[in-house]
Amino acid sequence: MISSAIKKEQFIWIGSIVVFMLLVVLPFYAPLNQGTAELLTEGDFSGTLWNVRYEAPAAALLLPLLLISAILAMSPIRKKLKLRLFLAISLLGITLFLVQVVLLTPELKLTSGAFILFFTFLTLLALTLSRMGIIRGDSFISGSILSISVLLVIFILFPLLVILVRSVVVEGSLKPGNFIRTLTAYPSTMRILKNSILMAGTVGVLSTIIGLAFALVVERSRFRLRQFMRAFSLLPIITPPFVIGLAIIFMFGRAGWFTSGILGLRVNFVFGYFGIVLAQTLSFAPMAFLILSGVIRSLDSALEEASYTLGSSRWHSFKTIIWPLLRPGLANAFLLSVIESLADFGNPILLGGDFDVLATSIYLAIVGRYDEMLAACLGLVLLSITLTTFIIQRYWVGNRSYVTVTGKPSRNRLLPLPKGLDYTLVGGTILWVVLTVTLYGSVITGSFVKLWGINYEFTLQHYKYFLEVGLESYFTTLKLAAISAPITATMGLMVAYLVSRYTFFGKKTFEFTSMLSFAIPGTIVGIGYVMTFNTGPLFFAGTAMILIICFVFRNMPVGIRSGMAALQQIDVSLEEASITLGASNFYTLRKVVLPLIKPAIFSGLVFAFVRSMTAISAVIFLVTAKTKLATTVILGRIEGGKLGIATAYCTVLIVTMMIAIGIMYFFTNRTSKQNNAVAV
Amino acid sequence: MDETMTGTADLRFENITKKFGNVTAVNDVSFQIDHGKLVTLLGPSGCGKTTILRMIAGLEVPTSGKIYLGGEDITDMPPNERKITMVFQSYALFPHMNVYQNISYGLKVKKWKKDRIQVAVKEALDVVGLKGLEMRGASELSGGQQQRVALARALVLKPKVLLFDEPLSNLDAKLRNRMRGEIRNLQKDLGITSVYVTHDQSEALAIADRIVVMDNSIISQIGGPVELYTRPENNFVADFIGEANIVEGELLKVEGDLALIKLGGMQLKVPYSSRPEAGTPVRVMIRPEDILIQPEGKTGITGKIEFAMYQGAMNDYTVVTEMGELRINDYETKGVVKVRGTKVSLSFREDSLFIVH
Ligand SMILES: Nc1ncnc2c1ncn2[C@@H]1O[C@H](COP(=O)(O)OP(=O)(O)OP(=O)(O)O)[C@@H](O)[C@H]1O
Ligand SMILES: [Mg+2]
Repeated sequence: MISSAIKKEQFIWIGSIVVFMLLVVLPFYAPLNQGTAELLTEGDFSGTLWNVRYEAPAAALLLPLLLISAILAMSPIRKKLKLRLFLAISLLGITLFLVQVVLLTPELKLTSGAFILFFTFLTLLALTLSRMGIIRGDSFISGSILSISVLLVIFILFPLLVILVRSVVVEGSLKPGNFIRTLTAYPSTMRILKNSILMAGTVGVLSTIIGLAFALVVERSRFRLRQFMRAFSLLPIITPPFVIGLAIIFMFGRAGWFTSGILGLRVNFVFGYFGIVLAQTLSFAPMAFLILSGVIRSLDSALEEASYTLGSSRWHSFKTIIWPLLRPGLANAFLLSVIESLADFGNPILLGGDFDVLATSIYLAIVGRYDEMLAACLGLVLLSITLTTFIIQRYWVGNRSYVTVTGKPSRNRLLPLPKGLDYTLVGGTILWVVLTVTLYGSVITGSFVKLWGINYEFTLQHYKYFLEVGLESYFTTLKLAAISAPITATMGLMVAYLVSRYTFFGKKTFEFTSMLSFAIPGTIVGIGYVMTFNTGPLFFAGTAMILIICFVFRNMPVGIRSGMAALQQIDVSLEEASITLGASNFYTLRKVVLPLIKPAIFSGLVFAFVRSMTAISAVIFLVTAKTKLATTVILGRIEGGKLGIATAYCTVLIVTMMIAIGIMYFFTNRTSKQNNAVAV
Repeated sequence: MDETMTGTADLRFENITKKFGNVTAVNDVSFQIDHGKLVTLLGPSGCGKTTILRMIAGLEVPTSGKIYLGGEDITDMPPNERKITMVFQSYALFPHMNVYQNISYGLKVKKWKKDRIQVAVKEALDVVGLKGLEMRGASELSGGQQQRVALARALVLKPKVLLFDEPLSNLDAKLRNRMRGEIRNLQKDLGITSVYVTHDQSEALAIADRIVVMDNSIISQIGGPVELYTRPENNFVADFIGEANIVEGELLKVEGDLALIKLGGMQLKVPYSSRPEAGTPVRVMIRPEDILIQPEGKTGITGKIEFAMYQGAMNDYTVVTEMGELRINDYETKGVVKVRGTKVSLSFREDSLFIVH
């Protein structure tokens, strides 16, 4: 124990020296158009040690502080006093850094030296807090909590704050009335708001109904092919944005196969309310299905059997037993569909026509009118609606849910539905499946024909064109998604682990913030990032880095959720056993926790990857000519009227995603079989 | 001796209190466990036994008070530095590892060389009687075997203190008895300071050097098994350990280490240990096996049998008397059970009665 204490002191001492050496070379500030890498290769720079002296007086004080802590680490004073001093030094250091960066030089762009210096003091704080016992767990745990908190603040909360500030600060002075004034001055505000609510409400109801029908059929029907309908839940995951929109145009548009080809009409009715609602329902019903099938599966048949034995009819039992238990699940599905619908950008931009909604109006305010103020105000409106819905879902419905979806799957024999209901539902869902298959089929077919609606001759020209103009963005997207997926999965898992296994100050806020991304529409993240990271100390605009960051923080909830579900299955005493056997928290995580939740990590990884491949709403604000992404290129082609290549590109993406999911199933099934073999 | 053989040490709890929010799980508890002894923490569900054990292991931090191990204050020491290992109620065997990997886990953490680990694991498996099962998966073992692996995994590190949290509660009655004996023998042979949590009083009596009886977050009495059984200090302990009849009486007079008490119509001389003053009403504990049941007319008080149950080794009676209902375990008259309603005479083994509070 004495030896390990000395090791920790050495860590501070050696760490300080390493940081000092790095700071000799790495610069603190950089010009806007350059990063550390460029500076280093050009050789025209000076390291932090030299450049803070003149340019960053407050930050310059950090260096002597670092020296003091190194000396302190080796000095033989009382442990309590030493820890207090470390705490004071680290807090002072972080404060000085913030003073320098936020108050003194808010316009200068920071680079590697500054980040290293900041995280050095954060690490010192983490070490101190864990040794003082303020954060239980070793310095690995406290370090993770602090660094993830800092990242959550910078990349989730801060951009929202910037939007808020932008909407109420005019020319440097606070004018709260500006928010209302901007919105009332813009003539379409009321219409947009009405459209959005109408759209989200309809989509919420329809998705829930269809999701419920599928869930009942898959879990409870006599229909023999019902298990195939499970694949339904995978569709939205492997579907890039615009696919359903394109398909609807192909089937029901002016030159649509159904409207024009079969009915002989030339109509535009898909552009607007009808088209958006159809497209979004197709997109979000599977999510509702997933939620509701979990609920239905966990309903205990014993309840229903008890009800039969008490003499109820089948239909009556359904009404009095299943329905009340189902209601919270329905509310959940409805609210989550509403959030998704409001946040959706791809379908409204493609099919909206004159029917403008919040997400698209915000985009157009920035791209068309260059009106950041209006975008910020509309963004706040959208954000407040989705956030309210999210909070209702999480704290009101979430608590009323009678079933835990995470528990071990029960092997209940499930009772079939009442006959009449069964046949109706099977009929309805089969129709929906036919519609879905036709729509997807039309996109894939569309990529192989000359000109949809006019000339159905087979051709590969769209794919040839894709190879010419799409390949670069395809590989960029693959690369960025592949880089961000492991980061997302790791962070998500860390958050899940910290939240489910440790208690620390502010844990509720920590968890809420990390799940918040789900409730923040991508459009808002996009404008928030543009407003935050296009100037000032954290200048990331135009880099691949900002895209990766965006992917990571938008997809983190996926990783958190799969991590949580997996961790809940693991008995905490396994980790405690490891700790009492002398292992550190980190060793325990690596040797006990990780091997047991491998499948969850892997699926988190794949879902993060796939979601990055299909992201559009946030990244559309962040891409540049250098960093084009698949989805933005597709949108560009659609806007240019080149639907052929757009469908070809979409088909390529669908195939890519199917491969990723296929690999995932292969591996997770294998590893989970292995685990089952030895599970206690 | 190698560096893990640090030898076991004595453990001291000083005024430990532990609160979870506004629940006080452990309230101002102090006790000492001598080097090499096995102490059981005994008490009803929710009285704070597991919490005490987890504080010894370092898995919980006391709200106030100090814990000393071999004279060193370990209150704030992280659990992985304490050299205190634990056998969990659920065994907590790592399901993705086989027996060998489970037992060698702690040695690997210590970065031992492979050949040394092999020797140590083999030795540990020998000790718990599982020779040759190295390559079995953790789930391919019976409950008793899992228990032994968990024990070997904790033993192989040569801990200063070994902790058990209701280690036998998942086993059937027969196996429980056998494992209880094995654990006790091992502990004695190796001389490891041990703390053993249980809510089964017979288990506590069977294996402990000393027993700490807990009642709702505080210590009710500490003592050896015999002491606790024959001289419980209070109602709770008397009732919790074994069966007990508690009857009201009066303390007439103290003569050295004997006291003269009035019980019903009788005057009895019973063992006396300092507390109540002469002339005060007292409560007296009488074990069911210390009451002699005889046909009516013999000496003692009379009563009528209310319940009569044949139990094999003995007959179990409940008799209504002027002192109230008394439980009687009759080991003498085998086979013949007196019927309900029979009038009987009861007399007490005076040296087995004890005054409680
Ligand atoms: N982590 C915790 N958070 C809140 N309360 C707790 C926690 N752990 C224990 N308690 C409470 O402290 C009290 C003592 O619990 P403890 O687990 O020590 O009891 P026990 O004696 O081991 O009981 P059992 O025989 O049922 O295992 C109980 O009231 C329990 O509810
Ligand atoms: Mg317990």
